[in-house]
Amino acid sequence: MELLSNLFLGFGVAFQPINLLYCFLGVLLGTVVGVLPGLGPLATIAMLLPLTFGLDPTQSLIMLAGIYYGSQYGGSTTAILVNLPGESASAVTTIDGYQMARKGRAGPALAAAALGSFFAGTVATILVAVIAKPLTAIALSFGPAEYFSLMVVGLISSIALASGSLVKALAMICLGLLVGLTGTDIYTGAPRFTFGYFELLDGIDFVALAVGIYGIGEIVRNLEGSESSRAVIAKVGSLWPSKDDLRRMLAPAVRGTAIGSILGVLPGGGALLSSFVAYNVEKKASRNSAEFGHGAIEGVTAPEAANNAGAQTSFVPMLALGIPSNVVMALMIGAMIMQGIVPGPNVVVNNPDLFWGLIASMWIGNAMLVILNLPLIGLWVSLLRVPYWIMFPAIIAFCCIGVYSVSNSAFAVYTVTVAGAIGYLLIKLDCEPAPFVLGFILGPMLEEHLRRAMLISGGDVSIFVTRPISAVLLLVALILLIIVSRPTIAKRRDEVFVDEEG
Amino acid sequence: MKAALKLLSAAAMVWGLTGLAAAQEYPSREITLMAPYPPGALTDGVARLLQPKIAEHLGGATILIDNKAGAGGALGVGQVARAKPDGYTLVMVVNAPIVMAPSLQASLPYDPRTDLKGIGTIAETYLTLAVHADSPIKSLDDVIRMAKEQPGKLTFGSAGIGSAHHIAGEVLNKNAGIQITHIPFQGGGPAIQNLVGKQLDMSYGTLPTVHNFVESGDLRIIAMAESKRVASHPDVPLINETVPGVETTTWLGFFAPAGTPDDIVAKLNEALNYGLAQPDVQESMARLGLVVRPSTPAELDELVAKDLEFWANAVSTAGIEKQ
Repeated sequence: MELLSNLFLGFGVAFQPINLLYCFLGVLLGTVVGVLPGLGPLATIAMLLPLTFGLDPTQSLIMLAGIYYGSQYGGSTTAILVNLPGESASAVTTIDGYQMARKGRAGPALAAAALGSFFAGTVATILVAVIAKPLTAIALSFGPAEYFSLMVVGLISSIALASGSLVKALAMICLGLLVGLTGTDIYTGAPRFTFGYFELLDGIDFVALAVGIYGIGEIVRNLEGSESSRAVIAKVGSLWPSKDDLRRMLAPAVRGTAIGSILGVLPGGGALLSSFVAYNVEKKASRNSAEFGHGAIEGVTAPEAANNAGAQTSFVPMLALGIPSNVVMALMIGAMIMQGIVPGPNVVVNNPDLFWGLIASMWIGNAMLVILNLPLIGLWVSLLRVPYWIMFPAIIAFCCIGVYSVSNSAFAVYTVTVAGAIGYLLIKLDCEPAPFVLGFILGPMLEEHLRRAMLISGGDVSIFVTRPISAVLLLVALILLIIVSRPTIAKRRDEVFVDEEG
Repeated sequence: MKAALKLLSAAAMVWGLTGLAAAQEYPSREITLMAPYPPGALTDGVARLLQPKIAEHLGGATILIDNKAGAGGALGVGQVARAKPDGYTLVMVVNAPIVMAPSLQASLPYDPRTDLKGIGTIAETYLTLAVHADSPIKSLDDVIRMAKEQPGKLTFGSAGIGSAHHIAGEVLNKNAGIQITHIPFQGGGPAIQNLVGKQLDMSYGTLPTVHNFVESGDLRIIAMAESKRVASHPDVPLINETVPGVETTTWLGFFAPAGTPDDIVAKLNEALNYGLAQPDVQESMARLGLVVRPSTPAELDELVAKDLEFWANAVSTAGIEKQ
């Protein structure tokens, strides 16, 4: 009953016209900026944060939250249409989403992303309202050993990301792990692979790397052919998902939501992992697993549902404890402090209208996103008909502006250039970028938590199996390893590969 | 001929305009205020808090905030250190990249002694040593006794290699003759979060990061790594009272490139101190966990010189290698 009265209070606040207005402004700004290639939620919030300092705290947080999930949503639009992930979560969406677009099914792919996200957003909003407290307790019980084991699960399952050669996938993961080591060693302070560049002390910027590898590499490849060979994309089929599509989306949306909701709560990378894990689970669980990597609608729905659910539940540790679960949440905490609200366990007691209003606004914002974006699908898809000689300079310009704005530094633009050359090389060598990107994200976290766990245990390896959550996760990793290395699966992978060749 | 005349008159006009601009009083154009951390970070918050007050005192000047994050603030500070010393490029920053980094980093792109000029101190905060509320550790004596019983078994969290947290912890190890294992994190927030989750035995943390969890009953402050008892927490003892030499300083300062004219520095100092005197600024600072601390430009330069020496000693006592 208390929950109902709380939600009542929340919707009462969120439905105030002024709050509805800021919620709408937030998702609109978020979508617009998120659609620009190279601009993900982080850059968007960082740029627009100062705009909200003049607002009332509730309006400001409602708007910022709107920008966050709005730009995440907009990011998947570019991932699907032009193979450009605005941030790590949509890197997975490019795999099948872009393939769907190439086959003229951009409309259904965008609709799948929108509907999957809305479903996930609805469920996750209820979850946040009901079990914020116990979820926070789970997040706190994750120590270095648990994180390490979680990363192992992520790495092993990442092999499934590859739809081509297994050896190449492994090579790409290792390369990603190595590139991820660039920066300051957090346990000794020693600079690694920085070659004297101060800008590299904090590591390589993910957005710049992803934009280069995916976007620039793809553009250069496209420029190889004549204009007519590119028309393949422009042949657009139905804008809406068919009945069969809708039926195929249901189970992935449910599974993706469950995975995203749980992983989103974990501070430090949980939300990052959610779309990768959801994709891999779907690839294993789906009856159409052979289609993955070649435009399976499940491969768009599941990660999109997962990253949206994760985006909602990542508010849990911030609202309940004042702990940021990712960089965007850290920015939100900064915004709250600027507004004179001290984030922490007391927010829900001292500012119940803000707490519940924000939660209710997230659901309203998600509904607005669907209403805003479904009619826009036709517009986005028609963008694909824009001649390539107009399109590619515009994409490159936006990419450069986007990565520049993250840290106001030209160095990020140079990073895009180098990454673009590497991306083109990888396409030429038939190596897929997804395992590389996952290795790049997981590598530093794997190392950080492994070494921290070893420091805390005094070098005793048994810490990974004596802590129950960690032991269970390692067991899951072992089972995954067995599944991945089973010959039937490897065979099926080969078949798919051969199909494509033939 | 006519064209040449036109060109000449145009040149004369431009000449006249710039001459007029130079004659006008500072500031005659927009000022870039560097906050070398991401938006929403503590320093950024302080810069945005003071921005309108300083602008107001400078007669409605435009002040743009530039967030250039990276290398613990060193990238942004370096950019200001290399800027033209005309009062139009300034930086607000915590003390770490100014007085600690020179002892920790071999290739810093600036020398705080010769490249920067202090405008004024802004505020200070304090470093605490905290444990979980359920911990058997109640005092620093408990820490030392338990560390002696089980050498290397206890752990302390810090904000990273070379942070004040790390240096305080290593100096405590050295001066008390104990061995508590250092667990670095990427920032003070994650360290405190792991302390709340009972992954650590104790952690250092600045008052703003720890305060909420003390209020909520999750954490307990057992001592401060400061040289004087903290006014807001008069009952919390200093580590120094038991083990001498374990102290730190954490402050925020306002700097210009070295060579900035004295009258401009004086004007900016006046504007800063005007801002710091406003009740709403003081109230917001208190919420951020900061204590306002106005000074003269000379006092900040002295503080920098004193702290450079202080941290050089502390780093060498702690046995941390320069990278």
